[in-house]
Amino acid sequence: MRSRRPWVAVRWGLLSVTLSVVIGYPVIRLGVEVLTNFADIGASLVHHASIRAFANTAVVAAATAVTSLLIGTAGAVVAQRTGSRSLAAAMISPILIPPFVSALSWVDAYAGGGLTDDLFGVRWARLFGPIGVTLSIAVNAAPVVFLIVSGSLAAHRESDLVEAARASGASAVVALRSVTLPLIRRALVGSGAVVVVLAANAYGVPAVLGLPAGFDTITTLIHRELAFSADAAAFNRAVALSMVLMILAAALATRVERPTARTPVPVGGLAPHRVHSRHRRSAALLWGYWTAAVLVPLVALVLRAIVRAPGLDPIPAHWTLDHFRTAWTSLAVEAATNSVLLAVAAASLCVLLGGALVTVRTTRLGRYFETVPLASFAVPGSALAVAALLAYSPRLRDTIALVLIVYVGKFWVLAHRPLAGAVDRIPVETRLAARASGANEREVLLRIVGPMLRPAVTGAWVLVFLFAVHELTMSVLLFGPGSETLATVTLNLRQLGDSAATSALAVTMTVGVVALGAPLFFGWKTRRRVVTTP
Amino acid sequence: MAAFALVATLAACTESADEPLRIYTTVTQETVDTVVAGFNEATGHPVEVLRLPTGELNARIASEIRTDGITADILWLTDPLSMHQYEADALLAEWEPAGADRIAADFRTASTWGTRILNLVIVAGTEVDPVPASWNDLSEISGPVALPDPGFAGSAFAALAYFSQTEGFGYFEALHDAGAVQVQSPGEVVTGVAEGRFTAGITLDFAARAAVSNGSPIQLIWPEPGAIAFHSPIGVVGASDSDTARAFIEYVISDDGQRRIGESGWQPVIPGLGGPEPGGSQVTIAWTEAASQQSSLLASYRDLFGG
Repeated sequence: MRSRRPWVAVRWGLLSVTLSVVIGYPVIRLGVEVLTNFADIGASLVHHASIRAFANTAVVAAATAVTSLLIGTAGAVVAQRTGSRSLAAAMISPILIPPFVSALSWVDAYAGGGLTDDLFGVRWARLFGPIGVTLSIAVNAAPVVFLIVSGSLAAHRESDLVEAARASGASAVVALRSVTLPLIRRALVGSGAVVVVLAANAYGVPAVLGLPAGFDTITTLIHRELAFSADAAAFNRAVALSMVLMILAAALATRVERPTARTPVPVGGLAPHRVHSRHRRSAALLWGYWTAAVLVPLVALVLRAIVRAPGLDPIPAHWTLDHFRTAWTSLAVEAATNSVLLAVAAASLCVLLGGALVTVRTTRLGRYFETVPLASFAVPGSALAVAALLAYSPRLRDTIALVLIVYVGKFWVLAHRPLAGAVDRIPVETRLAARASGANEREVLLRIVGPMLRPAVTGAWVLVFLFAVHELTMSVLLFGPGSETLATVTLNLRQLGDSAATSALAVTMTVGVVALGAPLFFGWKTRRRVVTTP
Repeated sequence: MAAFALVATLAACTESADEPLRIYTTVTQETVDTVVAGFNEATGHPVEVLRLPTGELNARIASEIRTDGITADILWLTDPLSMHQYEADALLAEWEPAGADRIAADFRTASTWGTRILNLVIVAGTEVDPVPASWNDLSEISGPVALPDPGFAGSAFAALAYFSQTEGFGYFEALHDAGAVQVQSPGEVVTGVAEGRFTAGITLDFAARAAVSNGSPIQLIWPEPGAIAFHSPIGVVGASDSDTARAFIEYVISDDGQRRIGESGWQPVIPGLGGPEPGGSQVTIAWTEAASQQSSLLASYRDLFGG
C-alpha cells in the first residue's frame, strides 16, 4: 500500500492542475470581468425579457431531460435485449448531424412548404415554438442518454440479471423496476444532468425553431448581446448572462444528481438471450420514432442539398450537384483534417481525464471536482472561448493549445459521465476476487475492469469526438487567422444564408463520419457479441 | 504529460516568423479572398485574414481590448454599426486615403470608408398579387411577411434604424399586427418565401439575386422610395497604423479592388466599376443617430417580436 501513495498524490495533483487550467482560471477571469463591470449589468438581469428567457430555458431544459431520458433509455434497453446493431446505430444517428442543421432539416420536412406538406398536405403548426424546440433538442440529446445508459447496461450484464428475474417469475414491469432501473439509476441521473445542461446552452435549435415564434432562451439573448458587443455594455451583459446561466445550470444539475450509495451487485453468468415478441414491438415503435425524427428530415436535408434553388419541386429535372461543389470548394482537405485531428486529440484527452476523475469520485473532494466539468459544460461556447482568451492572451492566443484547453474544459463531462455510469456499479467483489486469486492491481485493471469498461470508453470517446467535430463558435473564436476548420467553412456558408450548400456540407460530413465510424462501431459490437454468446 | 508536450509543439508550429498584415473581417470569404489575392499581386506583401460572423468577431475584439489591445491591423466589417462604435472609442486611425473622395459622403467618415454597398429590398413569391411596390405595402399584403432578426444580422439592424428614423416605430407595429414573423438571417427570409411559408419579406439583394438566378419562384422588388443602402466599412486600427495597412485600404478602394468586389457579386461603393447595378433609387441611414439609439431600438423591437 505504501508504494501507491505517491500515485494518489500525482493523480490528485494532475486533476487539480488540469481543472484549474482548463476551467477554474478562465471562469474566474470571466467572473472578475462581471464584477468589475457590475454597473452595466445589474439592471439587465432583472429586465422582464431576461426573466422570461430564463423561465423559457428552465422549461425547455426540464422537458428536454424527461423526453430524451425516455427515448434514450427505451432505445438502450431494447437494443440490448434484441442485440440489434442497426437499432443501436439508429439511436446514435441523430448525433451525426449538427443541431443547427438538424433543426433546419425539421423545417424542410414538416413546416409549411416542406416535404410532408408537398407530398400529403400535412404541416406541423407547433414546430415553431417551445414544443418544436424541446423535441428537437431532445432528439439531439437522446444519443447521449443512449450511450451512457448502454455503457451502464453492458457493464452490469443487466440483460442476464433480467433473464434471471424473469425465469424466477418476475413480470416484465417488476423486472424493469427492481432490476433494470436500480442498476442504471446512476447512469440515468448522470445523463439527465448532462441533458439539462446541454438543453440550457443549446443555441442552434432555438435560433431556428424558437425565433419565428418569438420564443427567446438565454442563449439567443446572449448571442444578441454578443452581436452588439462593440458596445462594451452589451459585451458585459453577454458575459454576465453566461455566468448566471452557468451557475443556474450547475445548481440545477447538481440538485438532480445526489450521490447514491453503492450497493454490491452480484455478477451474473452468461445466459442465452431470447428475443421476445414484446421486444420486437418496442423495436418497431423505436424505428417509428427514428423515421419521423431522423429519416424524414434527413431525406428533406438531402433534397435541399441537391435541388437547385429553394422553392423548386424536388424532381430530378431540378437536381444538381452544384451545392456540393460550393461546399467542397471551401471545404479544403486541410479544413477537414484540422477538425478531425483536433477532435481526436480532444476526445483522447477527455477520456483520459474523465477516467482520472472517476477514480477519485468516492471521496468528498472528488464529488466536488465532478461538478466542475458539468458547470463548465453549461457555459455557452462563445462565452467560454472569451473566458479563455481573457485568461491566456496574449501568450496562447492563436495556438492549438488554447483550442484544446477550451475543448477539454467544455467536453470533459461528456467523457466523464459515461465512464462514471459504467464504473460506479462494477461490483467490488469482482476486483476482490481477482486480487484474492493472485492478480495484481495492474492485471485487475487490464484483464477485468478494462474489458468491462470498453463499451463505455468507446462511447465516451465517440461522444466527445462528434461534439468536437461539430463545434462551431468556440473554434472560430480561438483559431487564429488562416487556420481553416469545418467550423469556419460552415459558418461562412451559414452567414451567406446559403442553406443548400450548408445542407450539402452537413450531408458530406455525415457521410464521412458514418464511413469512418461504421466499421469501428460494428466491429466493436461484433467482438462483444462473441463474448456474450455461449 | 506527453499530451502537453504535443500541445506545446503544435503551439510552436502555428507561430509565424513573418509580420504579415493582419485583417479581421466579417466580409464573405470569396470577396475577401479575391481582394487579398489582388493586393498580393500588386505589392507582394503577406496578408493573414481572420474571417468570423459579426457576433463572434465583436466578441474576439472585445476580449482583445480587455487584455493587450486589438491585434489586427485592419477591420473590415459588413455594416457600419460596430465600426461606428470603434470609431467613437478612438480605436481607428484618422487619415485620408488616396481616392477616398470618390466615395459618396454618406458612405465614409474620418476613419472609415465604404468598400461595397448592401441593399435591403423586398423579396416576394412570383404569384403574389398585387405585387408590393413600396415598403408600406408590406403590412397590407395578405399572408405572413418575414423579417431578419436585427439581433443576429447587422443588415437587419439597418432596416430597424431606417424605418425608425423615417416612419417611426409604428412601421414595425403595423407589420407585427399584420402577422409578420422574424427569422434568423436574410438568407432564411429568401428560403422561407421561396418555399411558400411567407408571402414576402425583407432581405439583402445579394441573397435574393442568387436564388432568382437559380430559378427559385421568387421576385426581387426594388421598393419605393428606395432600397435601404448601407456600406461595408473598412478602417485601420490606430495602435497598429502602418504604411502597409494604409496601402491595403487604398487598394480596396482602387479601380482594381473595386472591380474584384463587383466580380464577387456585390455592388462596389464606387460606381461604374462593374458588379450588380442598383435596380432603382436608394435611401440611406443616419448612422450616428442610429448608433446612439442602438439599445433602445433593439429593446423596443424585442418587446414586439420576441423574448
